[in-house]
Amino acid sequence: MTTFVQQALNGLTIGMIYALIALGYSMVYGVLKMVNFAHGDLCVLGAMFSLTLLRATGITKGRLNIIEVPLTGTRLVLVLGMVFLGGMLCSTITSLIIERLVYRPLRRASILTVLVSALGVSIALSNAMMLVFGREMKSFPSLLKKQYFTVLGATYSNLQVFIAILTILLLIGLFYLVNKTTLGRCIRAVALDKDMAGLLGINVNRVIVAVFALGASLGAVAGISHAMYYGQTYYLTGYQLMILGWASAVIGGIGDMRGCVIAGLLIGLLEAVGGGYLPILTGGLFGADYRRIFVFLVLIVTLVIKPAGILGKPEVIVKA
Amino acid sequence: MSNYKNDAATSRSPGFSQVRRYWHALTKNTGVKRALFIGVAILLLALPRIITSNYWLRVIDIAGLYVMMALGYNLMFGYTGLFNLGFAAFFAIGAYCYAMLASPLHNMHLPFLIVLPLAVGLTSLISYLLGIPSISLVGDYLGLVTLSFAEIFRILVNNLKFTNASYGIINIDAIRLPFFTFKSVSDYYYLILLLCVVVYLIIKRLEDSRIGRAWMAIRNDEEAAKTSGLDTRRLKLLACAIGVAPVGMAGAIFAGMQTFVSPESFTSRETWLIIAMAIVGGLGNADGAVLGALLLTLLPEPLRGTPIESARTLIYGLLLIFFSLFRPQGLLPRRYWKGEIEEETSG
Repeated sequence: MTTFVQQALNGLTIGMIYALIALGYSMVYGVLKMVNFAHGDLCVLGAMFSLTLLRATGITKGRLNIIEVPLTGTRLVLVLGMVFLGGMLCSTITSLIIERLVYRPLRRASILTVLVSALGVSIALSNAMMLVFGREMKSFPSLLKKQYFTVLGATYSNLQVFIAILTILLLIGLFYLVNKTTLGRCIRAVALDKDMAGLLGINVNRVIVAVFALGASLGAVAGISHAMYYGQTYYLTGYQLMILGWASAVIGGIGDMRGCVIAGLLIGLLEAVGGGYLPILTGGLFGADYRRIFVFLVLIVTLVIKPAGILGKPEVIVKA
Repeated sequence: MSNYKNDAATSRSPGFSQVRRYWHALTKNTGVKRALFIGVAILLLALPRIITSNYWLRVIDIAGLYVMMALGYNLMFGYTGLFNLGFAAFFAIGAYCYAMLASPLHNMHLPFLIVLPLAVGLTSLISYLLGIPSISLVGDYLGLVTLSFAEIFRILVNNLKFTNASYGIINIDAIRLPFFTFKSVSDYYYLILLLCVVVYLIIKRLEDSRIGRAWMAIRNDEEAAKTSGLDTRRLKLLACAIGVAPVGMAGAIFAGMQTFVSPESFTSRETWLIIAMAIVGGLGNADGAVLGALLLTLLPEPLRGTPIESARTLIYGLLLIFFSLFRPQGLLPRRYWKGEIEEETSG
């Protein structure tokens, strides 16, 4: 039971990160009907850039990026602000450049051409990160002084609490923005019918820019949280985040925000609980290395049984 | 007037189409055509005599393997429009099939002539089985399924004892036929050349066949194809099975040639590279796939060892973006027959 609670708590934390990434995919898919392959790499870019900021300001030192004096009070808040806002800004700017230079000229192109260009952006971005930030795995400080709580016999760290609260706040903000504000109404209108929205006087380009900015900011937060949680960042992490985020978006029903959040949490749970129990159930024959297999199997099964995802509407996904 | 006409997009660049027109006028003459053909054939056959450096022959061997894979990708994506992001896994299936059946790992040493059909058949079968549940998904969803499949496969190969996990398989038997064992890179060159030609001819024949035209009809408009009475599901599954066959073949030869395989050789980078080849060369055209594969394996080779080498993937990515934006039809686009082009231009 303790193991289960422990794995479930870990799974929910990581699931929140996946949910944030999935939202980025889902929103871009909503307005452009394309999969932004580069989204995973944008998330990692945020983490990489904020790590560079930490090093440049001398807060972390040495090859292992250790924080010598624990951060407290106002200083902690300022550093966290710098890390998250810096990462979000960097990802957002990059995302907007990509949108302007690549996706916008291709908006009327065939879907296969767009997919190929998105793939190109993803490959180029991850390799560029390797060239700029280095090809080694980098350790990422957790910034918070480690504290542990015991919940139902399981340990829960303050970092996990921090990630959970941050994600929930962001989700509330995002749902408010999309459902209650004028910009949100425009986003929904563009997602429904781009041409019609344009005819009704909505500046479609501006809405799309806003969506890319929102997606990239959420992605950067997810990327930084991921790096803090695992204590490392690596240029190839973007590929893993891409698959998991995209899978969450698809399982939840791409274009549906609630579905994305649910599916993200589900995938996190599946990965953690599955990874925790697999070695026990199979007597060590299958180790925790196999945990991702569950995710992909669930994805394939979902696509076969209900291609539109848990909450999606079944129209565009299956042809003929 | 030549038999062929440029499609709408190429005629935007007058210089290029001029060259093409001269080329077509020249090659219309069967004498010239035959001379060119014989010239190329002699050049290809004599290549190991001309290029004596083992290093370069090896590079050419690898290029040949990529030619096969790009041809397969072209069949799936270029003809049929199936977006497969898991090609590295199919390459790995072919390679591991040979590696496990002809190495000390399981103490099996089956001859190449038995393993090759097995490897190709298994690759096709797996692709077909994967296609059954997923084939009706559109573009990017199919991409996600194949990508997930490749990940599942990578995790399995990386962890199972059966495939010797991440250590890989060493001391794989060299490829041998009943009376001949392949030893040098030039031996392999002839094997790969032969298989490349076979694959090329088959795919070229398919391109001009009823099946090929049906595939392209599916790519252009699946609903219209279905309405015209094509069994699109069966045709797409067929493309899944045939498209990966050359990839499995390339994998088996790769394993025999390297005598060593490990999961490291079959990362998603291979998939991206094959996609880049097919796109740069020109989709929907077997010649384009060959050109793309040769260009992208041979051109970066002089850069090996220079600082630019680490930017190779960056260049592939930029190439994909560049071609999507400015020349989505690739260097050698599919030529349209007169009847087709009239519809294209009037439509």
